[in-house]
Amino acid sequence: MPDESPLIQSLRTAVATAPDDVPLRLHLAGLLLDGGHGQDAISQIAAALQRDPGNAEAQALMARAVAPPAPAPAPPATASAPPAPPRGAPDSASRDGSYDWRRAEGELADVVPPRFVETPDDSGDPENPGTPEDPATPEAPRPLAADGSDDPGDASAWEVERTGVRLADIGGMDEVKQRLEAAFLAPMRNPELRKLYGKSLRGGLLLYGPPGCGKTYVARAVAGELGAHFMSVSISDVLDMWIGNSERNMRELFETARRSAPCVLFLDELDALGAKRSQLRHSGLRTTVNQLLAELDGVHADANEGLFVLAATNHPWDVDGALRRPGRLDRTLLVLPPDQPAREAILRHHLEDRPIAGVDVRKLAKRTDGFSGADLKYLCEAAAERALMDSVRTGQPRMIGQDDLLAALGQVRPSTRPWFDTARNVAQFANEGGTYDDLLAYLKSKRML
Amino acid sequence: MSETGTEHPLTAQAAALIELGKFDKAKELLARRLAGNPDDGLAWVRMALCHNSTSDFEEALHASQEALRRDPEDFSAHRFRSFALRRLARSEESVAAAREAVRVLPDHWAGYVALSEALIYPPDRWPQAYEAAVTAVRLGPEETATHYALWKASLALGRSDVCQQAVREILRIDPSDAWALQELATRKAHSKDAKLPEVAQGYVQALAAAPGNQGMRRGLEGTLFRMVRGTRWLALLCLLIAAVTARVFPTGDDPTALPAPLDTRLYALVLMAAVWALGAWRAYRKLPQGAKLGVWSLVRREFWVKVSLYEAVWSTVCAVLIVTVPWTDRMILQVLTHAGWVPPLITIWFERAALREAR
Repeated sequence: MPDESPLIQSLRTAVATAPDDVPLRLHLAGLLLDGGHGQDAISQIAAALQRDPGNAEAQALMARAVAPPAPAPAPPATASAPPAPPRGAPDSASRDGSYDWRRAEGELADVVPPRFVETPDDSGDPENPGTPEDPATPEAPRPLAADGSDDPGDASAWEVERTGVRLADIGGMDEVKQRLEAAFLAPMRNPELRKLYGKSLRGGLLLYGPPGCGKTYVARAVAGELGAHFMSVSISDVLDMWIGNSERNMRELFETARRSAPCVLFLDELDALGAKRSQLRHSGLRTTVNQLLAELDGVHADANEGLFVLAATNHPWDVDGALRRPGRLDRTLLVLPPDQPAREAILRHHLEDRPIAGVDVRKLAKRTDGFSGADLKYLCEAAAERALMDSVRTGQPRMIGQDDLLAALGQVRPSTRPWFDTARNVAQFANEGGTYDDLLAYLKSKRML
Repeated sequence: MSETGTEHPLTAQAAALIELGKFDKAKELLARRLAGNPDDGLAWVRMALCHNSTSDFEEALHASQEALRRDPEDFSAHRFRSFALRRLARSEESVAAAREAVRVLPDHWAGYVALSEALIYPPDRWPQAYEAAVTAVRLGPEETATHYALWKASLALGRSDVCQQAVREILRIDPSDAWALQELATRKAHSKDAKLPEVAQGYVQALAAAPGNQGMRRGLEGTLFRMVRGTRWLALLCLLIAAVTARVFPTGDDPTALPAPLDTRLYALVLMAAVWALGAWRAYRKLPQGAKLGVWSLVRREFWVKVSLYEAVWSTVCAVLIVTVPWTDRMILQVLTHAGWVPPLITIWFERAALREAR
């Protein structure tokens, strides 16, 4: 190939000499993929998988190779639209014997059944209306990106940003939204009523729940609702400030947030930032917790006016009790795995750019109770992988169908289970003052207690 | 571990991550540090600690040896090396490494803890392990690790009095120490004198301190199951009271006229209520709230718990029917009595047979 780099050409020769060298072949596939030769890459990965079917790296590369291109601002796919070609699919006609995605598209274009099969809503639940809106339309609620793709973790500790996310952008999770509205947003937005009822603005909100369920996203949505700036502080920022200057840095962090008021200051992984001091031997970390307490209290009565502190943790039982006293992070909100409407939205989001046919999202959503957003993403990937491997094996392209998703469902287990095993013990045996009553009620409702 | 202002930021950050139990992240930072400066002995020591904590003992051994290559007098490196060698079943070398740690800092308790742990195998060294643990406790009486070492050595020697003392001391120093609470709960569970509500209480305390401990949860559920199973004996006792007072099986000179006098039957009813109140209700009331929730959770989830409870209820209902209805036909009374005792006794017999087989 004339447009290939010398490295790729050398690797091709090496692979031809040692066809059973799977790592070498995968290295070549990776380079081909990066170079935009997706079809060649798939051939190489398929060859590698023939030799080592369980190779995780090969599977990951294959998933990457067949992943659709990043969603463009083009019109959304309609029910009869052909699937998007995989990343790296060549523009020209296929080469001999290789997998021709363009031709496959053409073959399938006339016979492609509807992408989603809508089953009537038989639950009779008024809060769970029948056919949801097309998620691709601007009005449709966006799913919760619990897989971390929306995580603002890459923002620096001192970076103040504006977030465009609103609560309405979160699909489902009505209970969380209602509680946020009642406990936090309504008093913030109605100063007159607040004064009438003597409601103080002091205090913050602690979000807790299993990992991968969108706590960070909810925090960003709160900032969006308040029209406030958003600052995120995570464990890595804590460690940076730990070296010698923790108090000064913590003070500066809060000062920056106050200067940017109205501002939502989001403390991620609070179990690390505000760990129980009795369990800490390092004076540096203890000092950080002390300073955090002081900053939450504020020097003056109105020092924290316009500063809304939100925190998130997977392990609220490891958080220092002083942080949860009145005036600090005194309100808690349990962020549970997505409910059925949210799961539907998430599944639609992860399937919307994939070649699918006849997928009954509602049925899938019903069968994925307890799955986190990350689990649902993995489910879609596993189904795509299954369909792709089948296509590669038979040489006949086919769409991702309901059977693929159901087969993947048989292999994927909710990753939230270990969290609930621990949380169940906490709610049952360490529920002092009714701190975990909401969790207890949820566990009872799910017959997990 | 030292905490100085001169250590490299990455090494210092790793120390904080270790403190927070985030060993994998700490390893990443230390690896970055060591890639830039492989002569950072402290980084090697902390790397050894991380590897030991994640059970990567070969890597821990390598890291501790790298640390010792740079500073042969590093106390922590000797200790971590001893730990890794012990877990790799290289007992002699482990003891030698621990003795080196003691040589470097002879007045520090941690060296003797390492030595005591290293001497636990083979059994002929148990007295030496015990002596080392006693020395550790003498040097560090307010350190839970020294009492833990003493507990282990005394357990090996069969000194249960010292074991109990060590657990008590740990709980004095840290009343929420998860291991000590667990040990206490397990000891209570195996004690013949302990009552089931007390055992359950112990498990609940341990679970409150270490909610992730599923072994304790299983222990608690086992205890609660035993309590539920025990209610069948109460029900059978009620059935016996009913059968005697209602003249179901008259023998010798007993009066045989049916129905039995009302006052006698009412008296039986009171007795049955007392049996349930003292035998079950009082025990249930004594349970912590979490354990009470656990009882109903078990009844909902577990088939055999449900069966046990239904049997107890069934036998009691039979007993109540026998004494409340003025039966004149003895056959009905006898059928009710047999119907009351047969199902629970058959299940109990099968349970015991299964238990014997399991042992």
